[in-house]
Amino acid sequence: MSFLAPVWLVAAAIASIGVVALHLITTQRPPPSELPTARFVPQGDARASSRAARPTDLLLLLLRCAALLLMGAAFAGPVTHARGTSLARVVVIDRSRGTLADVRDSAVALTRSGDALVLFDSAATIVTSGAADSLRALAAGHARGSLSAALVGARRAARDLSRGADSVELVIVSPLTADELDAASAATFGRWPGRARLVRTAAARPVGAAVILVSDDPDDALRAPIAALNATAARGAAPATVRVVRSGPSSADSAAARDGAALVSWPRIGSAAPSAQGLWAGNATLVAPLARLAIPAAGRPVARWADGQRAAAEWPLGRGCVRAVGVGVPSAGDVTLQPAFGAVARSLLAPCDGANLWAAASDSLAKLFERPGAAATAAALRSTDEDSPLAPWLLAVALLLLACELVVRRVPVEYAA
Amino acid sequence: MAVGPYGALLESVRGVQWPARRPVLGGAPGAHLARTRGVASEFAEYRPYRQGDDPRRLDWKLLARSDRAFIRLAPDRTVLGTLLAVDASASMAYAVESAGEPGEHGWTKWRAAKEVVVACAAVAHAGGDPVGLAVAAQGGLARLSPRTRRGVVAEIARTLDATVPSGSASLANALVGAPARVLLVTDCLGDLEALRRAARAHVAAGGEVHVVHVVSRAELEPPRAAMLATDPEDASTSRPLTAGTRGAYRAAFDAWRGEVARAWRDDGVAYHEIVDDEPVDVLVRRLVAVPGGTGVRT
Repeated sequence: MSFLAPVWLVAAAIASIGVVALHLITTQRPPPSELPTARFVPQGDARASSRAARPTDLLLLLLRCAALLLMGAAFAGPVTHARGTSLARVVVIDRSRGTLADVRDSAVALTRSGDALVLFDSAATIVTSGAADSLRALAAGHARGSLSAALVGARRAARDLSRGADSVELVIVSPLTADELDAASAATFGRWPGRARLVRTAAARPVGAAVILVSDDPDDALRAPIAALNATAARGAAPATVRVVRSGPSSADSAAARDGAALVSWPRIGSAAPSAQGLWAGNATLVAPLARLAIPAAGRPVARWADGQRAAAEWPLGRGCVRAVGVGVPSAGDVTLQPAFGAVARSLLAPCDGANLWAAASDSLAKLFERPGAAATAAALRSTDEDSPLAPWLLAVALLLLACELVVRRVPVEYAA
Repeated sequence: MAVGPYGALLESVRGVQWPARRPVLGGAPGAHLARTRGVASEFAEYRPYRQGDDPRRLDWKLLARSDRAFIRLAPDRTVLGTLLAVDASASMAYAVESAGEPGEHGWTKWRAAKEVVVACAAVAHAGGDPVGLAVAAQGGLARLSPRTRRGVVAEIARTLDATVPSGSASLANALVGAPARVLLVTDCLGDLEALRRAARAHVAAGGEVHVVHVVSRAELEPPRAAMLATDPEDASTSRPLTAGTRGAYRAAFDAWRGEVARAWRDDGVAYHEIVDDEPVDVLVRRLVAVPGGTGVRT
């Protein structure tokens, strides 16, 4: 048996010592003495403090101390666990969009009987039985991965494993792409109390022609920025080239989008009249004569007008996305030649979620999720928020003793003459 | 006369007289000076003869010498009925003596009160006065009518010995229909105002009232062991007796006793205080002393 929060035991012991001391240093009414002229004694508090060498009211003292100790034991959370020498493992397996098929091979090679699996993409799934079936069905998904969710699930799975094992090791099987990490990842991993091993697998790469621009603009007002983008991509300084489709997207374009490409719909200005507008997209801002075009209400905004209205929105499609741009660019004028427009265009014609996030995290960053040393012990894995099956019973007995204390306290105390 | 434990006390007050403090109304012949003049052998004064006087009271020798008719007068002596009224409330059952014979009460205030009553009864009875007793206890007022017969003192002693002080009692009722002289033996802790009103009325009617205020030594100096003082007649009065309150208690008790003595004396009552460890015969001699006289038969 161990305790989840042993400090409560210490607190209960200290409180019991205090109760014993209070029984020794007690304030009580002294025995009354008859005095016919008592009316001439000034009024006052008819109680006096006295110190006893031995505690009085032993039954009361016993009840109070027992109630305190039981409450302390209940709050300390006693838990029982089987004694064993085995080392259990929690294998965290990445099945997000950034993984390839080799993650399944690595997971199959690493997983042993009795290990707990945590399969994660944007959410974590704990598999404690039928691990072999789960591994056979393992395939890369289309969702972005979240290592934080996986670590939380791993902690929960480890706590369950600790009931039958002495120690638990954490194994992470993942390419560990940058988009799987967030601000909570390092802190969540820091709460893991023992050894952790990271098995990195190959990361999936985004589709080469990552941006497909669907534009019906015969004047081709976007020609200049597209040319600049493709020239930059050719030198390797941009994540993807932009392919322009004039006659609407084909099934091949949709398939490419499901496979990771960004399908950008940027219609021509048409009959809309341009006016002075402020536009924000990514880290770029532009003030120029532009026209506001209608875009669907769904999706995540990726550009906004100066008054906060959505200028462009994006929603996922398979591993890629569809992006609607409601910015009408006039064919006349030099708006497209401005450097600010080029920056806005790069943001609006960027791959989904940014291709730079798709890349595998650096080795130095990955080392943060490895920890040598001993595996996490069962006691360390138990936390105060874990339920103790004995705690309610101990609390019930303590309350019963307190009720008895009330009854015993009402018994009048006989004073010695 | 069976007087039990009071023998030594009665011996010590033998020969003590308890004269009236002022002339009393005439009655049966006795030892006290009456307000009337009579024909006793002890000459007092002459008075001219008036028609209707008994010719036998004429001083014939004076008539023969001076040819004037005078009546020879002498002071009358009469008896003085005495009622000994004693307070037997619970406060008189204080303080308890540690040593005592089995069945014998060790209350020192009550013992002092009994001795005062028995001694005064013996003194008054020895002077030929009828002596009665009134005991105010919880059950009411127990009376023994004033009598002069032999054995009345022993009867009074037996009545007192059979009495157990308890509860609260009103001593004022004892003065209703009381004889001319009343001795009140009390600790003045009961209904003092009612008792004073009754005593004032008795004095105004020509009576004579003596008060013996019985105080316990333990009341003057409460025992150190007593830390919570409780009134035996009022359980709700419970006060702490600490080192800090003892001084205030003594001062308040002394002041109250002084006020009580002054109030009784202002009412025309002969007031005496006795502490329960003082000799009773000394108090009795002090009590019977008439201002300006001795009160002791020589």
